[in-house]
Parts: sequence; structure tokens; C-alpha cells
Amino acid sequence: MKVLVVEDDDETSDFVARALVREGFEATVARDRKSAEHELSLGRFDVIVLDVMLPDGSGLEFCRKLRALPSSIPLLFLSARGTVGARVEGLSAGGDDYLPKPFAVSELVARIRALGRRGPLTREKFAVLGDTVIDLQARRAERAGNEIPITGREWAVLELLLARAGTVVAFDELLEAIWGTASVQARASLEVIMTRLRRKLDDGSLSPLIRNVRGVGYRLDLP
Amino acid sequence: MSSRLRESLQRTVSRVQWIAVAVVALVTVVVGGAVGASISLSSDDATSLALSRALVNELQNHASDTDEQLELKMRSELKEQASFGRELAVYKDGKSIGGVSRVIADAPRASGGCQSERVLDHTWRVCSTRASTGATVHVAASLDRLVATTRTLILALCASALFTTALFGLLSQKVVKRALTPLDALRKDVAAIRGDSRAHLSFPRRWGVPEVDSVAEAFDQLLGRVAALAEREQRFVSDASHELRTPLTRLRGQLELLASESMSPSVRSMLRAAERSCALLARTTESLLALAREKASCTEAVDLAETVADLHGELALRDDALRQRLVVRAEEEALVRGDPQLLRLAVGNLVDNALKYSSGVVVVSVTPQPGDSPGSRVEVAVVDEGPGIAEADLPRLLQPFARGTSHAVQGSGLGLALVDHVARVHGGALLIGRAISGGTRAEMTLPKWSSRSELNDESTDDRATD
Repeated sequence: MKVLVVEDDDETSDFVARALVREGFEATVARDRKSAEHELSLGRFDVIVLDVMLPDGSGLEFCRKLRALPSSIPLLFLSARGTVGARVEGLSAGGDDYLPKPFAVSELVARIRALGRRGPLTREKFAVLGDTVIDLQARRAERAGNEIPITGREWAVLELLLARAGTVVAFDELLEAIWGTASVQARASLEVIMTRLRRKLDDGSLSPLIRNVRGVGYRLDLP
Repeated sequence: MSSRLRESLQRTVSRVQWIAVAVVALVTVVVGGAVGASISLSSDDATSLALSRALVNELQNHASDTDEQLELKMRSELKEQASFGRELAVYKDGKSIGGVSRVIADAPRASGGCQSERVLDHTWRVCSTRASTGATVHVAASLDRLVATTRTLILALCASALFTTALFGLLSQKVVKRALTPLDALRKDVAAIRGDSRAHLSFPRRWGVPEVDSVAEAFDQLLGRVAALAEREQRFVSDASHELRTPLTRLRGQLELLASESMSPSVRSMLRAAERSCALLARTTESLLALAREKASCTEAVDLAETVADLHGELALRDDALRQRLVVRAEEEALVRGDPQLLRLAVGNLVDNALKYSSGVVVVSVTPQPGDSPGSRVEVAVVDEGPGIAEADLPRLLQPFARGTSHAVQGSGLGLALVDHVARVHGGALLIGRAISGGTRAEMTLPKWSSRSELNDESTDDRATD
């Protein structure tokens, strides 16, 4: 798998590249936007790791420009800004994942691997479920004009179910993607979260949006 | 406070206005009365003198006539004049040769002039003219009429002064009140400034009242300076977070890579120590950056019960002995609005503190108040079985870098200051005291999540924050 690391801090890109190489990936380092564009013109990459702050302009803008092109390479943002707002910004600029600095190298490698395997997600900006409107970018849900409180973990579950709407998402897949482990406690948490999510989204509706497919997983059906 | 100021200013201006108008009215009455009286007096005198002169002329024209003839001639004239309230008397060589007067005695008087005399309880004005024949004509006019006229004049002036005073007083009160309304509006505008939103950094209104506008301008300048300061601070936080996190990223990554190399046990234990230091440095950095942030940069729904459960799970990865000391009571969903990272940092600090400063069981309970009223709160209470906090330490506890005197425990000393800051940034509070069991009870209360929130309109600001 070929990874392009666009990062202006040499030492950071150095250890990232080393870690990637040790994992059996092929890593190319670009210090700025210009050289990143040059590298992209030379060859195909499977994943791009992009620092939000680049010496010759914002990484967010670079990402938007890349997303305007027909090619869709999965992209992971690195950012030293590290607020939730920055994460939302990164994802709405077209990033597929976001990792705040300082990060654990093992986590970066795991996420790059996941991105390379699954390819870019088609991220819908909005979802309309009955009278519920979900703004996935701003992470805001409303029913009949009233805001619905959805917590971080509920968003994660909802995003995954929406991305795979109409198909059953297995329990273990949800657990691994969101809790990182399929432990008994995580399974209990998942059940609590599903109950709440269904109550929040389905409240008063005749046909439930999220169905529990017994023994397999959950399925969200778009109306 | 400002409304009191406005009232007193208004009252002062009205009072000054009232006094000024009253003084002007008084002066008008006094001067007007005096001038009126003196004008009437001199015109009366002139009439009397003219009369006496006319009579003198006539006397001179008939110098050859006998006194009886003269008296006869003058009788009709004298009678006519008497009907105007004047009395006439003509004396020659100390003998009355004409006119009958109760008031004019023969006495030497300056010729061609008038003087006041008091006769029969009345004041008279007597004007005299001496003829070349030796006779003197005296014309006396009662001042009663004059006094009556003057009194009427003064009364009229008083009435008009009173009316003017009242009218001007009321008018000025109205005018002052209206002139001060912009000040009240300005007060409202100033009160509306929350200082945390860019939309309120200047006054769009000008009132055309120089004093008020200059105050508004001064406020504008002040707000500009405050905004510049806030911007500088935000830029500093943003730069600092970048400058601090970049080397931390390298350090953490390099240590992690190094850990996968083979090394002797002593080197490995040194590496573990370095990793712990790195983790502490990262936590301190995050705490400092969080302390520098003046508001929640995010307004997501956060379930504090979920946060506590996550922390509990994480503790298991760090140290299982610690996890076993922690009892979590957080069954019900406890939603608040805010920044999940900051809230997690705050709750984590409360738990870490309790585990660090005591040795027994630590109970964390998350309790949402029932109901959805706007004032409802969520309470996160952490109770330990430690010795409790010394009274003397309580005031210093929330200061950054302060630490209890009775313990020698490692830490940055930012813990509780950060919790307090995060609580306040989210519209909540931190209370620390003694638990019933004797240990320390730290209680953070935050406003329960509600559909409409004050924090809400700041969500667009977070990209500039950090």
C-alpha cells in the first residue's frame, strides 16, 4: 500500500514514514502542498496523510481541491489544533478521518490500514429520516424544528449505520469500529446506545428506522 | 446603577433649570416693578409740572388783574384739574390767591421740581413753578393711584413669572428626559455586550448627541482594544498549541518507535519512565491549553454518564488496581451541552485527583436532575475515603499550580483549577468540601442539555479559537 505523508515537520514525517515502512507500507514524504501535488502527479497513492497546517497554505483547502478532482484517495488529517471543531472542519473539507496530535503511532498505522482497506467513504451531508433531519457535518439532528441531543458515540454508530443503510451491520463490526474491542462491556454499551438512539430518532413513529436483526446486528432502513 | 445615575443627572439639570427660571422671573418682577413705578412717577410729575407752568404763564399774562379776577378765571380750570385727582394752590407773598387745597401748605419749594410730602396719611407729589410776578403755583398729585397702578403691574408680572417658571420647568424636564434617552439606550447596548461574540464589538448606533456619541465612541475604542487583546490571546493559544503539540508528537512517536527495538531491561525501564513523563507532559499541555480557552469551542450533546464509563474503561488499560478502587454510579443518561474533550478532561481530573490523594474506594456518581426545566442541572460527584482536605487549603485549591500541604503527591497542580475552569466555561460550578464519610467530596454541576442554549450561537466561532 502506498501512503503519501504531507507534513512540514521533518522529524514527525520521518518517524511516521519509518513506522509505515516497518508495517510493510510504501511511504512517500512531501514537505508542502507544492511537492505533494508533484508527488500526486507522479504516481498513484492508496492513502494520503495530510497535516492541517502547511507552510504554503491550509491543508483543508488542499483537501477541498483534491476532492474537486475525480480521483478519490482516502485522506486522513493530522492536526495540532485538536478541538472538536477542528475535527468537524477536517471531515467537512472532505477528509475521511482525523487524528489530533500528539497521536500514538500504532493508532495512526491502524487507521491508515483501515482507510486503505475500505477506501474512501461516501459521506452524505444530510440524511432525512421521516420528519427527522440529520446534518452529519455539523453533527446536528432536528425533528420538527426541535434539536435532538445525540452524543459522540451515538453519532459514530449512526454514521456507520447510515453509510451502510439498507444492509445489516454486524455487532462485532460496530464494536470494533467504535469501541475498538468486542468485549462484553462494549456490547452492553452498544445495546444501551442503540436503545437511546432508537428512542431519540423513532420516538412516536410507527415504523422503526433501526431494526435489531436478532443475533446478527443492526440495520437502518432509509424510508 | 446606571439608571440611578440617569435619574440624578436629570434631577440636577431640572433643578438648575427651575432655579434659573425662578431667578429670572424674580428679577423681572423686581426690575419691571421698579422701572414701571419710576416711569409712571416721572410721567405724573411731568404732567403736574406742565400744569403748573401753564398756570404760571396764565398768571403772567394777567399780571395786571386783581387777585379776585384771577381767582375767578382760574376757578374752572382748577375744578377741572381737581377731577383728575390733582389739587392746586397758588400762593403769593405767603397768601393764598387761588385754589383750595387740603394738602398743600405754603412752603418754599424748589421751582420747576417735584417732591414727595406726607400729608393726612397719604403721600403726595407736589410740583411747583414760580412766576415772575412772585406767585408760586403748586400742583399736588396723590401717589395712591400710582401705587395702585404699580401694584397691579407687579401682580401681573408675578403671575406671568409664575406661569413662565412652571411652563419652563415642565418643558425643561421633558427636554432633559428626552435628551437623556440616548444615554439609557447606550446603557442597554452596553449591557447587551457579552464580550464573547464578534457581532457585538461596536455600536452601530449614533444618536447625534455629542456627549452620548463620544461615550459610545469611547466604548467602541475600548471594545476594539478588548477584541485585539482577545484575538492576540486566541492567536497565542493557537500558536502555543501548535508549538507544544508538534514536539510532543515527535517525542511520543520516537519513544513509541524506540520501544519496539530490542534493549536491555535497564534501558527499557528508563524508556518506560520517559514515556510516563511524555504522557504527563501531554496531559499538562492539554490542561494548560484548555485553561487558556475562555469558552467551550463546541456545543455537542455530551452524556457525562458515558464519559465516566469511558474513563472507567480506560483506567482498566492503565492500571487494573486503580480501576478496582473506582465505583461508578451512572446508570441514567446525563446530557449536557459542551466540549466533549474539555468535559472528559475535567471529569478525568476529578477522578484522578481522588485516586491520587486517597487510598480507599472512590465513588463517582452522575445524577441528572429530573425534569426538563431550563434551570435543571447534572451533578458529577466524586467522593473518596481519604483524610479530606484541610480547611486552610480550601481557598487555594482552585488556583493553578496550587497543591495540598498535607500530601507529597506528584502532579502538575492544574487539576482542580482546570475542572473549575471547564465547569465555569460550561455555565456550571465546582464545589469541594468534606463528605459525610469524612473524605473529600468534589461536586461539579453543569446545566442540563436543553434544546435552546446560550452556548449555541458560539459554535461558529470555534475555528478561530484554536
